[in-house]
Formats: sequence, structure tokens, C-alpha cells
Amino acid sequence: MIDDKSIIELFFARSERALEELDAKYGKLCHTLSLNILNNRQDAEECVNDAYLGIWNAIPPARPDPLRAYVCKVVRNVSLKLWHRRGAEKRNSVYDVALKELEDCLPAPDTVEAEAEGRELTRVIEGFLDGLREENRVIFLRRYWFSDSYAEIAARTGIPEKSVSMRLVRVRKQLKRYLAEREVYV
Amino acid sequence: MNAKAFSEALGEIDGKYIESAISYETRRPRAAHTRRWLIPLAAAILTVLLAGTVAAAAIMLGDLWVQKPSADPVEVVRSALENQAGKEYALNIEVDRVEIDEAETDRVRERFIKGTIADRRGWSDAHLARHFLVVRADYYAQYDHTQTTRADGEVTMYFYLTQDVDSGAWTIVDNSGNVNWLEDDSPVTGAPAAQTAEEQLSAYLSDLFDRAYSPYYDGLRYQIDDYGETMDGDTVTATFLWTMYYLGKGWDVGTDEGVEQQVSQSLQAKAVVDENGALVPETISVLADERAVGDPVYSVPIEETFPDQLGD
Repeated sequence: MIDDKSIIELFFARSERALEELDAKYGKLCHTLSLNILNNRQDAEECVNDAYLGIWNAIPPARPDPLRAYVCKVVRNVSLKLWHRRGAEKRNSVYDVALKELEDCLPAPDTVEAEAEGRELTRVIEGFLDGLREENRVIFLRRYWFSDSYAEIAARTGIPEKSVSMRLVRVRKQLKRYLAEREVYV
Repeated sequence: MNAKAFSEALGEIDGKYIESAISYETRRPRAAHTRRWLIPLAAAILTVLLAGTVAAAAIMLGDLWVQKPSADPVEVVRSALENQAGKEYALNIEVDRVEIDEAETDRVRERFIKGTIADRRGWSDAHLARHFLVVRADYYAQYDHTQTTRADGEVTMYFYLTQDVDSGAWTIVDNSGNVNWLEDDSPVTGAPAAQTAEEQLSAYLSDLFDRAYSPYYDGLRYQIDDYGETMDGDTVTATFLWTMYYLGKGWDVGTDEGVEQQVSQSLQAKAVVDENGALVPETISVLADERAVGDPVYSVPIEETFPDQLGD
């Protein structure tokens, strides 16, 4: 398997092998991520292909580093767009369940004007993540960024599933307190 | 709706967070700051192992770990943690993970036990390989702060166990310096706070004594015995017997050269405790007992007992 730099060079050379190499290296990761959000293999397949097209159009001029995180971001965004479009459908994906978990810990604004802007909120979230112990940060991101199931997180971290659940409850409480103290409303 | 907005904002975080969440491995190397506790704890291990009895361990550990020796070392640690949950000052103990840490076992065995300690005890490498273990436990603890100075939060603790050759039962002889991540919103930076007031005072005094005596003596190590503490508002007052061990110079008795000596003194320490259970460094004061016999009178600042020049 070739390294990320070589894959990017293939994109710059407009070689279709770039997509083959990208899929060989990160295809499984992308499909899992999209499937966790959409809970539908066909939709996930479609989203990953759309993401590849987006990446093909973005590189060049973009030269993302790290490539893996960039690819995941694109796949997540494309998958969420489809998730929103088909919002009325019942999916019961891990993403749906994870969103419900988050609902309770987010302080609601009194007025629309009080809502934090997306970019500002992202910076606040990064501040929160910086303050977490590494293991908890990974658990939080695996659940709410990657929409992993508790079982998947347990397998990845070596922490029992029940403990993963307890950790997430505690981290969400921390998040609620963190946002409230900074008067950040979502 | 707001969870969706949050999720979208989360999607835009810097790639480094995503990368670290992908590349995270279960058995990642521990952070360097964990290691700093292994040096003082090694002295404690040596003390217990030299004493060589479970009774000594029980005295040293006080009521901290009530354990059930068992053929299964993981169960011994688990039972100690479960018993901790039954203490009046413990509101909640949630055990995440308990497992034998082979790498840490090898490291502690190689670095701290082999050699002098093993020779004195008559332990072969094969004996050490079979009868000494380090067990790692990750758990979450919440304490009643009106009763204890221990801090809440997630704890990674290393337990040191020895096995009785005849019965096969494992017993905890010591535990590590309580690497504790306070459940706080502030970024976790620098060294973690020691968990109990006793451990924090031990660390504080060890540092103080190292600076005072290391120009003169080798082999310095310290021990606290007969520890007791009371809380008055946010101030903790502790009394204890502080023992300094060092290698003799043989100035008075020639045969003492290179042989471990010890000197003990009764001390009283006071300090303000912050909301996380950490002693506020600038408030720590330590007084030595001015009397050689009878009830102690704590009146001599510890710094005044230090030598300016040992030869004087």
C-alpha cells in the first residue's frame, strides 16, 4: 500500500489510480463511517463515491495533511447531508442514537440570536476536547464523530462496554458544565 | 435540532483530533508523567519487600486496601477496590478495568527488585518471574470531601503483588502513586496531583529532604509511619513519624560506611486543601517535635533542622 504523499501526487497527476489507492487504503474506514450514520449499505456506498468525487475535485489545489482525517471529514459531511435530506425516514443508525444522547447535555438558547455560530462552537468544542484525558477524548470522538457503537469503542479501547457507557455519561456531564460556564448555547 | 448543530460543529474540528481518534491503540504507551511516581513508589516497594511480611504491608497500607488474598491476582485487586467502595468516605467507585500489566511487571522487576533486594531475600530470577506481579486498575472514584482529602476523578493505579509460595495466594504489598486525572474542565497538563494528603506531604518532604541532604548522603529514601490527620475547614493537620534512610559515611563507626542508616523524627504538617483535594503548596508548613521524650511539642520549622554544612 502506498503512502499518503504518493496518493496525493497521483491526484495531482490526475491519475485515476489515485482513487483506487485511496479506496484500497481508506475505503473500509469510509464505508464504516458512512454506514454508522446512515444505517443503509447502498446509501453508504453512494456517499463514499460522492466523497471520492469531491476529493478528486478538491485535490489539487488542496494538499491535505493528514489525508486520512481529511477523507473522513468529507465522507462524514456527505453522509450527514444525505441523512438530513432523508430526515423523515426512520433509520435507527448509531448516529441517531448518539444524537439523542447529546440532546440532553446541550444548553438550549433563550433566543435564536443567542445561538453560537458554527465556527465559534467548533473552537469551543476543541477547547473542551483539549481538556479531556486522551482515553476519554478518543471515546467521545469515536461515539459522536465516528458514530461508533459501544461495542466497537470497547474493542478499540479495551474498556468494557458498560464502562464505555459510564465514561460517556460522565464526559457528557462535563460537556454540559463546560458549555454552560461559557454561556455557549447550541 | 441543537444536537444536530453541535454534531455539525464537531464535524469541523481540527484533523489532529480525528487522526488521534483513528490511530489510538488500546495498549498505548503511558504518558511520561506517570513515570515520575514510580521512583518514590519504588522506595516504598523496597521497604515492604525488605520487611518481607504481609504484616508490614498491612501496617504500611493502613486501612487503604482491605484485600482478600487469592490465587487470582486480578481478583485480589478487584476485591480491594470493591472494599474501597464500602468505606464511609467513598461515595462511588466504578471499576473500569483490572488486568495484569506484563510490561510494568518486567520493568519494576528489572529496575527495582533484581540485584540487592533479590540477593538479600534469596530470590532467584525464576522466583521473581513467578511470584511478583504488577496489576493495573482503571477506575472512577467519588469521595465525601468532608471526610477525606482524596480527589474525585478517574484513576489509574498500579498494584504490586507478591505470591506466597506455599499457599499460592497473591497479596497487595503496595500501590503506585495514584495517577489521578481530576474531573475538571481545565486542560490536563503537567504532573497529576498525588491523591491523598499523606502522599502529597510525602512527595513535598521527599523533595525538601533531597535538596537538603543529597549533597552529603547517597541512597536517600523516606518513609511515613503512624500517620494521622484532621480537617478543620479547608485546612488539614497531619502528624506522623518521618524516617530518612541513607548510606552511612562511616565517620563515627567505620563499619557503617555504605551501610543503610536511618533517622526518625516526629513531624506536624499543616496545609490548605483546595476543592480538588490538592494541598496548596505555598500553605504547607512543617514543624518538628522539639522534645526527645514525652508528648510531642511541634515548634521547630523543619528547615531549621537541615544542615548548612555537615562537617561543622
